[in-house]
Amino acid sequence: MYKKLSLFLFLTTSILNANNLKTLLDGYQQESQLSNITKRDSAGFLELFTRSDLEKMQAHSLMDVLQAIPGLYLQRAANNLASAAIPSNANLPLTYTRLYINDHDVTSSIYGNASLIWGEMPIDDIDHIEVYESTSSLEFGGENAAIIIRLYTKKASRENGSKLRVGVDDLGSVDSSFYTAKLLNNNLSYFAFANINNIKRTLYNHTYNNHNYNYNSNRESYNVYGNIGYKNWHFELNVYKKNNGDFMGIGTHKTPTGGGLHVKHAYLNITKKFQNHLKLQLSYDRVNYDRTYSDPNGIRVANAPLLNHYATNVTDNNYALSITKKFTMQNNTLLLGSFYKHKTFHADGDYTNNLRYRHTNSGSNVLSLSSIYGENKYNVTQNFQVVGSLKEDFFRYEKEVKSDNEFLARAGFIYKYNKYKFKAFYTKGYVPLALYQVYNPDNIPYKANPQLNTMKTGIYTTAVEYKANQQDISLEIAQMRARDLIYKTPTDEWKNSSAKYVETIYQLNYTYKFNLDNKISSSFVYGRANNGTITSSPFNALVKSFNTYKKFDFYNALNYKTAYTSRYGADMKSSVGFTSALKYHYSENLSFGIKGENIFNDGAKESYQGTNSTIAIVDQKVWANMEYLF
Amino acid sequence: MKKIILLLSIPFLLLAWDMQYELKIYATLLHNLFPKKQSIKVWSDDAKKEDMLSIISGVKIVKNIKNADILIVEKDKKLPKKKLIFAINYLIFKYYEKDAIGGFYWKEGRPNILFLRQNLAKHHIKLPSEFNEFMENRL
Repeated sequence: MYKKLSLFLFLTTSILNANNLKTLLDGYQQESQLSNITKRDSAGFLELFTRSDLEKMQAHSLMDVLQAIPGLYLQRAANNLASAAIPSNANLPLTYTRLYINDHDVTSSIYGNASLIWGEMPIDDIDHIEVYESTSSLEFGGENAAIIIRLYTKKASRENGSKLRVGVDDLGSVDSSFYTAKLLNNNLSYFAFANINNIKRTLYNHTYNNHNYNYNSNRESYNVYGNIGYKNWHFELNVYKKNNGDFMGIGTHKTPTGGGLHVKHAYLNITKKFQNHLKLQLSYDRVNYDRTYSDPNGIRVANAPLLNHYATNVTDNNYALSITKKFTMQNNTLLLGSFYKHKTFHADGDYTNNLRYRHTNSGSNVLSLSSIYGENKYNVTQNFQVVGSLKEDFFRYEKEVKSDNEFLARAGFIYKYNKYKFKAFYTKGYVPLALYQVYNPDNIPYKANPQLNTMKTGIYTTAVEYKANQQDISLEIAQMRARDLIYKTPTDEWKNSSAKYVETIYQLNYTYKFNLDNKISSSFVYGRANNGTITSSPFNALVKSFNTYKKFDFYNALNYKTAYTSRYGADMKSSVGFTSALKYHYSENLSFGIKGENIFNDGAKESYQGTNSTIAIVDQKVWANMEYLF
Repeated sequence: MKKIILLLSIPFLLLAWDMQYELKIYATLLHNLFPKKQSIKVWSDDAKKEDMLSIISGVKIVKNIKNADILIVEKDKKLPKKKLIFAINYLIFKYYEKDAIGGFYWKEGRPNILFLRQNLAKHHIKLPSEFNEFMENRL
């Protein structure tokens, strides 16, 4: 009765006309965003980038997005790889983050890190991005991680068209993407995407013993992605290949004279959704990781004299099968799942110096990883949900490395009271080991430890959120208690530490939505370790605004980090990273954009062992973009 | 006064359907297509749409196509082309391009509403001038 009455009142007015039909369409676009379907409120602290956000940001690589996450710091390693840190702690294990494209885990198995290969991936084929912090695999099923980045590709049924984007920057980079998607009939669709880029980065010089050395971190890459949807089948193929400069390399004095990274990761993923919420997933990944370093002044590695040339070639083959089944009852949802992964890797090494030393080695191993898990969500009342999850992972290696079983558990609740929402969870988990840490028979260039234990974690999270019509305020607190920490000895061996580590992160968020197209969000994050160690900026303030005015879109982000002393003893000043983007929609299908990154050239910097240089993590540069939809 | 009524009605609308904007869009379209009808008889081949449309005041869901004033079509390709057809899927809109009065569909990553002038004229439908920006001669 109320429903009919309300609609009657609504429609007997003449307010509804085509003038606000445009506004209604904008509203409909927002309420039907795919992120509204995929995001999981109970999975952890979520930083969401909707399609509209990504378009306003003019984000063209995943790095553009990762640098706009409060409390997650991008790091730029000496060998030009990207990794992440959190407030006060720059020493996160590589396996701390995992990356998913749709339901596929694209994290490399030997290095166990998502961003080493895919961190710079192009994202024009991506609809939206969810970054879960203080999370675990319990909600998503895959291998465990505390930070999970989930990317969702655009949906063919919503595209039915093509897009071309070309971008150039003032350093001479070119980045171009094209995709096309079509619904062929109600059962069959395809989406095809290609990107090719040549990214120039600021060139740095370093003088050592009166010789000048260049730090080259340029990148060339291509990415081809395609999917076919047929009824409840979904086939995906993704190939990403990139060549990166070595930047400083890993020499003792950071004096590189060549080398680089050539990596190719390809995967095939098949998903079949049956009736009654049964899902089956089959995938195959192949990674070729070819790394060379060259340094005339020596590269120090384990169990060898100082090297001048270092080459490794690693091939990963991963086969995975997973199954999930969801049982939905009136107030209860039970998810049961299991997966099996067969991971093989083969590594070849060639290490030489100018004194005729040469060592070559070769090794391979196989990891069989299986897992069973279950999650139950029970709605005690309409406003009170309790969640409990259990998972057991079984690690079995073909050679040398000890077998391991790992148990995960999670319990918590979400309670809504008027405009408030309270969340509290406890997660008992672990940080998986990367294969290279546990197996390397020659122990050159590093000493693997087959008896290494995983780092055990207990993460407490609590949050209170207040949501009014236009405002959203939340306070999130996460405390991680860790034991069996992993560290590298001065002789390059992996060991477990007996010390316990506790870190607490406090995050305050405030978002104000002026209307459908305009919002400003701010986050203030403080991190503190119990032992008082500070290896990254302890405080971060990030303010982002997303605006539209007539035919213009605006994006501005101010990222402030406080001063600290780096793990290599460098005094790192406070930093202000400022990014600004302006897009002009010439027509509905053609737009031009300009974007400035690290505009004040005062953004966060990185310090390095063996050199006094501190170098900007994000280059100061200006991009010009053109996008055409057809 | 109208604004006050609208403000009063919005909370009820929010209760009525999760997709409040979608609901408002259909309400707007139907009542502007049939401004004089007390009861608009709607047929649809999409059960979810039927559920949603049934909430709108002045709309009656019918099971027999013959009794319908308008057909809201997701996939059915065997419909009598003399009836008023409104497509809610780009492919089906393409299929009925010569007959459908309009469509509400996704293309290039955004939702679109489009009315075809010639097909509206065939059915002697005249929409308010505010709808001009949503009218084209072809899809």
